[in-house]
Amino acid sequence: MKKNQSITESTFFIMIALINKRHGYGIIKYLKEKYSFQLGSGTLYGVLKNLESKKLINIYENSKKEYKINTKGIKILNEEIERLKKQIEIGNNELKQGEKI
Amino acid sequence: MKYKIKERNGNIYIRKLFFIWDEQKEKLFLEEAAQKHGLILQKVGFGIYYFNKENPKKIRYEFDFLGFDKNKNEYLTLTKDNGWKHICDFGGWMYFSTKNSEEETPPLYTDNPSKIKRLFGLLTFLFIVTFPSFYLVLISNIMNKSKNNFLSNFYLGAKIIYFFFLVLLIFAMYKIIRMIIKLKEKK
Repeated sequence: MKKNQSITESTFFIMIALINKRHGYGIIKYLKEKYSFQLGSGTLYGVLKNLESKKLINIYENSKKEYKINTKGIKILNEEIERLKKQIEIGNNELKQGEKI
Repeated sequence: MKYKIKERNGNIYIRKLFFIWDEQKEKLFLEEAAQKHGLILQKVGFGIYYFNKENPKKIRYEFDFLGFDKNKNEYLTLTKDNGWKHICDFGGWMYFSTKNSEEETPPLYTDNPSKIKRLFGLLTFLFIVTFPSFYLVLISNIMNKSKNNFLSNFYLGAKIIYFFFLVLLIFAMYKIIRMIIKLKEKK
């Protein structure tokens, strides 16, 4: 992933879910139960393939394939969180200034 | 939607032809067949759909295309775990169904970027398939090299068939590009 390039909402949530080791359906279930985030299996499969090709996750071949975000993935996730924080800060500042006018 | 339900040797079938860009219409047709007539999809062939007769029920259908992806089993496990039943394959397409609501079992693709990526995959596949036809119709002069009349006619016939195939593929690619543009506008 290029620097300053935002990641999609689905990718962001999948990376969050992979802070702990999970298999495919485990990701879907976790995001639905904890964040009411609906994730289709086609979308998940595509994102996992993408994360795998960019070497942002580790894969564990058990009875079911399991995935976990790696150091490189955590770095990207932190950069995205910082980018989002900056956007929120800019948005809040601009709104406050607008209210004063 | 207009269609005739037919039966032969205990097999219930409907003849209907949908193209790659008719995905939504194909889904509606299958959902209507299940809800109105209790016809539950079992198998798909070229322009033909085979059903089992049951009580009318609400069923949702989804199709997907993996192209050159070799990990089909991994994908099928994931869709099954998420509540989709894999019914059959036809021409590289996988047919899925579920009785669950969208809340219980979401569609296969839940965001625009992944829908666009899927269409790009399909477009790439079509482009690769189109190239040999393009070569055969427009570039190859194999027909001219043959002095044998029968072979010459055969090559001409093949060229005409490939030409129609090529037109259809180009039209399909045009339709898919339009679908991608529409999805990008929705962002």
